[in-house]
Amino acid sequence: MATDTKEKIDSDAEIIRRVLSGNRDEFRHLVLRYQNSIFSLICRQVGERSIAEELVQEIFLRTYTNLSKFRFESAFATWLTRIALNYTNSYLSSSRHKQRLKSESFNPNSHDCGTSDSTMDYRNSEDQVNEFRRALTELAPKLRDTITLCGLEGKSYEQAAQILGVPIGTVRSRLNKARLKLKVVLGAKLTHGGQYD
Amino acid sequence: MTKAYWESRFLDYLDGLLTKDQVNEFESALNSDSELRQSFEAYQNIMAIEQTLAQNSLEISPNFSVHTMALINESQVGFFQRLKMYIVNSNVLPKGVISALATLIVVIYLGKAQLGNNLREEIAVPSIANLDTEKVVPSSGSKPGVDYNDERQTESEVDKIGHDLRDMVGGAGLANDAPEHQVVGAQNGKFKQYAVGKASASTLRPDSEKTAQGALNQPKEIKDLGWSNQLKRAIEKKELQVSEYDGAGSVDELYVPAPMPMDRLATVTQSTEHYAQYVENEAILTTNEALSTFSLDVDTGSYSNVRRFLREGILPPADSVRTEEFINYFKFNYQAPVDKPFAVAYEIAPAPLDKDRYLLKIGVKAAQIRANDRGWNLVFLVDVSGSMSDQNKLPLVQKALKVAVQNMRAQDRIALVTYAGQAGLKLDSTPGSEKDKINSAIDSLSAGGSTNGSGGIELAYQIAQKNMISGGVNRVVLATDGDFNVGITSFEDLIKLIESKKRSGITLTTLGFGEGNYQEATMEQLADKGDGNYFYIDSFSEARKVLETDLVSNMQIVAKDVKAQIEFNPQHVKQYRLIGYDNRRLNKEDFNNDRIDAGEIGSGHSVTVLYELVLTGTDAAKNLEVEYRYKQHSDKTLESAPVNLSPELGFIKIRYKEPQDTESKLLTFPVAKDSVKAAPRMASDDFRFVAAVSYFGAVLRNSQFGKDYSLAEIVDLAQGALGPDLDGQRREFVGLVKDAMGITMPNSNQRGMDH
Repeated sequence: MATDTKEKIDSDAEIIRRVLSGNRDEFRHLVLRYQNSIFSLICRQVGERSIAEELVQEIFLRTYTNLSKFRFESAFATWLTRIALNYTNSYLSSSRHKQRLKSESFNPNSHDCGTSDSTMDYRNSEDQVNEFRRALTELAPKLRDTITLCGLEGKSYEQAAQILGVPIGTVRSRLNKARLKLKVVLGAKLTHGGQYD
Repeated sequence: MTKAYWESRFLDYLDGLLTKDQVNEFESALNSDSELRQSFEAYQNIMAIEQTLAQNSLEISPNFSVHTMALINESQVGFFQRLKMYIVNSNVLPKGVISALATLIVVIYLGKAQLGNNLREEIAVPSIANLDTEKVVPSSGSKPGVDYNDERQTESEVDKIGHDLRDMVGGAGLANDAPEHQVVGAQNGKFKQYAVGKASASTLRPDSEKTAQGALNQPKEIKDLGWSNQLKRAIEKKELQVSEYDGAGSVDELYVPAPMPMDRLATVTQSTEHYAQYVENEAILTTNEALSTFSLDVDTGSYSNVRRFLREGILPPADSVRTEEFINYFKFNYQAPVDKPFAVAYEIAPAPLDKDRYLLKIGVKAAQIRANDRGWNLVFLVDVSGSMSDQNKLPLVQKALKVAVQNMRAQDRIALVTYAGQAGLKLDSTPGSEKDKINSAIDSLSAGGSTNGSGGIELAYQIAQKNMISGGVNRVVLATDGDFNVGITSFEDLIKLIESKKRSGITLTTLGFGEGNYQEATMEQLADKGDGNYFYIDSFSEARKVLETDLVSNMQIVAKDVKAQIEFNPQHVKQYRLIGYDNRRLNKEDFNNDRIDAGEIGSGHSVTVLYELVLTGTDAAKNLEVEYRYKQHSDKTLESAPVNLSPELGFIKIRYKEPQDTESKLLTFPVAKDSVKAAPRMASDDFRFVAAVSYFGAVLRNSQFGKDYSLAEIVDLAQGALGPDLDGQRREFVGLVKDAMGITMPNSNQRGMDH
């Protein structure tokens, strides 16, 4: 989600103005432009494609509904990412998600969101990656958002800080804390089960 | 320095933010402290996993944007709905044009619904934390990121959010930054909140939002309304849920009147709507009483009446919910009988939402009688008092009547009598072939004026009597919003009249309209006494369902005084509970007593009965074991039960009278023990759907047996059991359950985070 090119920000804003002036179908351009980046963000957080798609759709609907509240002060992409994270957090803390975790419909072994055998790092067993995913969904939202943005999405601390609306120092402290938490949750797997040496 | 301290600096170390001295200190600590070393290695491993996951670029399904835009466009349907309502209700256009328009709009609407369908699964989104609730502690440049103590998610923080939530209930949006999301009380697991893809519709339906919000702002009234306790509790405890009003897409929706403002509804509901209180059927130990006896009936009014409430964004009074009427609203796939007036089908499987319990679904299907040889003699008795002038009352009655007229044949007769406004006879009994004459009489009905003292109902019966069709259907159909000032002052006299007319072959059906002083209990009771049926009509589509299909089949009565008695075999059934039919219980000795009145079943109709069972040998059964000091006779019966009956789980008996007979006949059907299915998923869609309907009834009714069901589970269950759903009624049901979820959850919040 590039927020750094002036031209792009301008054209986002332009599209938004057109949508707001009644040209509803223009919103399509925003969807096309950001669907994959939002999807990848959400998919990394929830771990399941189908769920992620549902969420992304809802996120775009909400964004559309609330477009008039966009103040043109930040980049649209930042705003959208924020909506996406908020919404995903509410899903992850929902009982529906928790039920899914328990039920068989949540398949932790699915290669749905992210990994495939060819890209698997030799040091990480598939088991570890799946455990990581599960642990990620159970992390406190702030920590999860931070590690998703910085660790998985490859955002800079500054970008993450903008999206999360907190200082860089906070981003860094959360990132560190998130990793420590995950380390604890995955503890046994990392030290005994893993091939790490 | 402790391990914890160094752990807090891992990232600083990796990012090169430690001073040279600090680096040395850290590295020597790594060497000396094996725990710290392990921890750091694990930390790096986490980072490696992150890398693994980050390598993949992910792409959404190719048609995502098309689906999403379809949904966004669909949110505009609200406008068309209103336009449609306006056109339909305001007779400004000729009928042909209206139906053409209706078809067109339905086609457009369905087309869109179809497009969006794949992705319109509901999403549960309770939210606990929002980013802006945190305290931001600026960290100083030299030691970035050390201060992470402020990040703790504490109990009090959750409380704080709960508090924020309460503040937001007033509806005041905070900042105008990040869009609203849906919020649920942090601890609330019972009612989950769902958003449907059509979320953006909320902005177009301000009244529904207001309604829901109003409901929340008036907790006192809520208490008074006799609402379901669970929901009351949720409101009182502020375990609130916020949802955008979901008008789950069904075609019916197109005909639903716009929601009324809450203030009016609240008053109305409080003051004059009246529902009889019913005591729920208890669970009964088979050893105490093996016989379950009740009157078979096919009323469905409760479902459409409750639907009206839910669509207007308020919860129905618990006593307006009669689960058997919910269940029988739906069509199930039953085989028609051969050579008998009834066929019985049953299915038994574990209850989808109750561990260790089973559901027995019994379907009674009546034979289809060829209608050609029998004429109908209908007298419509229409309430035209001032209160009927609302769009969903008299105008809807008129449209409903025209539907009935469309289906009338030359041998049928129809008459029109009014009461409480205009004098008596509007249309003398007229053959069904003279449709123009009948329709213009229907058009001439208008509401208002002073109350006419003459006995509308007596006149109606007089005309019915005069035009009696021997062997045909002779029926008075009362259409009202609840004003029973039909010319007979005392209710007892009214009942007497109805009963005496019934004996001479004229039955009474009641059609309920509108809300306000709606007297559902009375409506149902009158129809009951008059051997007819009671329907609640809340929309044009419901009018069509009732007057095109139900009324006709109910007029072609296959059997009257239909009673069911199920005997359970205590060898297999520890306990049973009849779901619904709370006010249709009969004493076991009434079953064989032909003087005891019971339900009527129309041509081709089916009745579905649901039992909850505890089978012997299950854990649930063990919990029900009663220790007797003295050996009970029931135990003896148990032991002495004939071996050749042991394959039977129960025995269904149906007693009925042919329409013209006074003596009853008996049909029997054994229930085989080995028909019990192993899991709910092995049961039919019908089975699982009927279970969902009964659970919904139990929740709305605040049944003591419905405490453990969440609406979300019910939605899931129903959605997995839609079957072909040709008439869309099951999808509509799913929409209603979602509506119920939305009702406790007014407004949504906006949490600003744009700095």
